[in-house]
Amino acid sequence: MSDNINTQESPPEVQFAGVNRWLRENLFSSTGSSILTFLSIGVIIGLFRSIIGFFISPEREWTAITYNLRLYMVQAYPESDFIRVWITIGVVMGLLGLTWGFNSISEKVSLKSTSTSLMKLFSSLFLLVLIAPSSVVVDKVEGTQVEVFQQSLRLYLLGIFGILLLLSYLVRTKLSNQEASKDYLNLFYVGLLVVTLWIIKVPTVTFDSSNVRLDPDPLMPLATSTKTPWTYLYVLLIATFFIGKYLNSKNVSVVKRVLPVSWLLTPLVVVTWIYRKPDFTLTQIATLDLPVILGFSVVGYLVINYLNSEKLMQYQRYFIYGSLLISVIVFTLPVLGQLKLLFFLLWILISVAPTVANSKESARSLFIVWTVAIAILILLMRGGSSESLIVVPGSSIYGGFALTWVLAFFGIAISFPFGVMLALGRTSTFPIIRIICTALIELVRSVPFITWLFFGSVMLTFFLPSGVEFDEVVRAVVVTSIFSAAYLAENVRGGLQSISKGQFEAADAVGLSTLQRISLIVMPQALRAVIPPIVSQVISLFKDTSLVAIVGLFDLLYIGSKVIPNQSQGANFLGTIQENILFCAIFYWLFTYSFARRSMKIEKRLGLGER
Amino acid sequence: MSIIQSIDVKKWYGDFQALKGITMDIGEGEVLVICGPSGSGKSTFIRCINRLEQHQDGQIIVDGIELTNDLKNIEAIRSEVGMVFQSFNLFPHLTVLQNITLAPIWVRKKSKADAEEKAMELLERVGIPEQAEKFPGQLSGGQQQRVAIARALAMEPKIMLFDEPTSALDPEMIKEVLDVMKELAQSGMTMIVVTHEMGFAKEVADRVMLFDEGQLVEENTPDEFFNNPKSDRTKLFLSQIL
Repeated sequence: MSDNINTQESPPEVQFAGVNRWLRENLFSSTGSSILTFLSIGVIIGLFRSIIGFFISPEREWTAITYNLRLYMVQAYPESDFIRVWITIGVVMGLLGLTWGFNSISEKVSLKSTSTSLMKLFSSLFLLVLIAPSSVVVDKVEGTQVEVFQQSLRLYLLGIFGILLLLSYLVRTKLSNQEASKDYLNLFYVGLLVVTLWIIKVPTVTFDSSNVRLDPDPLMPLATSTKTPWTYLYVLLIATFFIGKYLNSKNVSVVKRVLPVSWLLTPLVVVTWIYRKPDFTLTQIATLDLPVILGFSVVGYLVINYLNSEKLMQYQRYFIYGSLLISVIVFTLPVLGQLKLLFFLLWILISVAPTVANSKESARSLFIVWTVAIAILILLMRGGSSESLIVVPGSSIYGGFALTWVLAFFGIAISFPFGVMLALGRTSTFPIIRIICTALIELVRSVPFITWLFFGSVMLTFFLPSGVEFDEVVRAVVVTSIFSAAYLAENVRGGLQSISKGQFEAADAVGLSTLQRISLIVMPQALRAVIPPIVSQVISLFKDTSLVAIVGLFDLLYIGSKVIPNQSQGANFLGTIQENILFCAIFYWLFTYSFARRSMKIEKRLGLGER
Repeated sequence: MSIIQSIDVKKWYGDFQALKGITMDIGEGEVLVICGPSGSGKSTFIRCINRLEQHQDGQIIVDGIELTNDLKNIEAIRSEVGMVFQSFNLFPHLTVLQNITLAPIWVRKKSKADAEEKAMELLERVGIPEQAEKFPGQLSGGQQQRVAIARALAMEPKIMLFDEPTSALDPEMIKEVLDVMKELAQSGMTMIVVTHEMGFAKEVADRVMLFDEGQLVEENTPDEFFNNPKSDRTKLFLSQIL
């Protein structure tokens, strides 16, 4: 009965029933809903008209932003050292391109979906231009109207968006079966952004030779001084993308290990070396750094190779407690900051070495990791603790968006592992660890963030041994990351509780060690269960960085709300607070919304296994 | 030669005594079926054998190693003893292939290629090589349980423990899992199976045991157990389930 086998029918094709029917079913299904539809359309149009009117009103001094973009980005960072910033961005771009190219899975997207989203974009722009008011009321008392949007300009813009809309519609209907490489499409989008830097012109404040402001403000490209570097960086991105792709095709497996390590090191190198001019003298390195590196690598070698021997294994707990005690003692002694950290790391090594280094091979690789880590750490700390030779007015060389970014990046990067460790500690079966972690989480959570910021800036010095002092930004980073780690720990703990007991038992039954069970089975599942709360926490951390203004740091929002509206020298921007706050809001929104979009995609991809 | 020795094993949950002194010897290559009403301690007992539960009194010696709190012993024994659970407990975030190769790679330190080759062999053996790249959530219950068996076998254990492997399955899927288990028994694996599948016990088991209220009530060959049981408790049990 061979024809019985294939009795399966294909599902009926869903067809778009037509605009009329969609409208009738969704918007005008009854008299009530028709009224509601008309009402809400009216409200939406009115709202958008007033918002657009606000933006294009001649009263708005948008030059306050275009003129101050540099202030917004890097605050008082001296122009002569800008090359350091560009190198930083260049390094990140290069790594990004390499990683992207190397991990590219050559995904294809159908032109249909791309053109659909383009159609959405262009039609919304079209509508916005259509409903924009042509004149706005300037003086509320007298009601004078000023024309702000010429009819010819409106027609011109409508024409452009109409043509673009038509083009994307044509692509959608004629080429709907075609596919495009997602990578190239994304590179193209980034390229478009770079091109807009050159094309789009905005009014900017300029002065003539006798320092008098020119009137009217001439139109200049959006990024006058930065468009060339951005173009170079874009070329770099493309170049490294193809290098990464090439390396992947040649199956160079070293890259796989080098890339994550470089990503880890880059921010540290950037902060300690590029934004500073550390003092590297040979005598210092020879008399201080080299002996310390050598000493600790020898100790590490002994620990890794002999601690797991039969004889010493039984005393392991004494070694752990002993080294913890030593590191605590060293912490209170007036010695170099490097040593304090190193002894703490040694304690961790002693605790994990016998379990991790159970074969000759793994012992060797652990030893290499240990030595390299120590050497890098020492060099980084040499850079970090050296006096910065970049001269900046004010307390910190970080300001503006650079500060916001440094705080957010390091806040997240530090709080993530710390929070995961706190969560594990709180669910641990060791009472001491559990109590410490619980106490820390509860203490941190129950005091307001601003209080902790004050604590970090004013009181921390009392608690640290004399001679140890941190930069204001470092203190803010520490406070931010600890605060966010406490919240993150609770989120992660929620994820841990969602893992069934069976998973633990299955992991035990196949013989995984505790560390392997946590890192291979429990954490991956727990973390993907709590992606939404973690993302909202990342977003709130990003926004909360604006609170550091309270301890005297000049972040993006502070510059927008206090600094620029008080500028009266040169260009006069007194009272331009509305424009600046709006700009800051849009700026924050761009970043946080792209986090959110990114996380939605990650969630979708990770959700694959959980059907 | 006995591969598992259990001497007067006792276990309490709070005040409730789950095991009241279990003594038995299991020989190499033997297939032992344990049955009994729920709450009789049969699952608890086999979970003590790879120390998912800790016994509080008595001795369990697996392959010459006594189970104590020593972490090294526990890990050594766990890699010798495979376990299959009632609720499969596959790792949902890993593919079928990754589920099977995880422990060989991380515990046995095998290379990825070797582990995958072995895993594909095992998937052939349990009859679902075409599902290797799928996630557990995309498989049927019977397929999941067969993957779980393959996962346990990948560690090349000497002993396999089955904790009610078919209780969570549809009747049609029970057969496919039992077939795999029969094939395994015939290949000479030492197996302890907690199950209510009396057909399996009759056909495959070397010995059948009945647990009741934490005690070993009856221990017999399958023939004697089903046709000529010694204790009244066994008669009652058989009359209720057959």
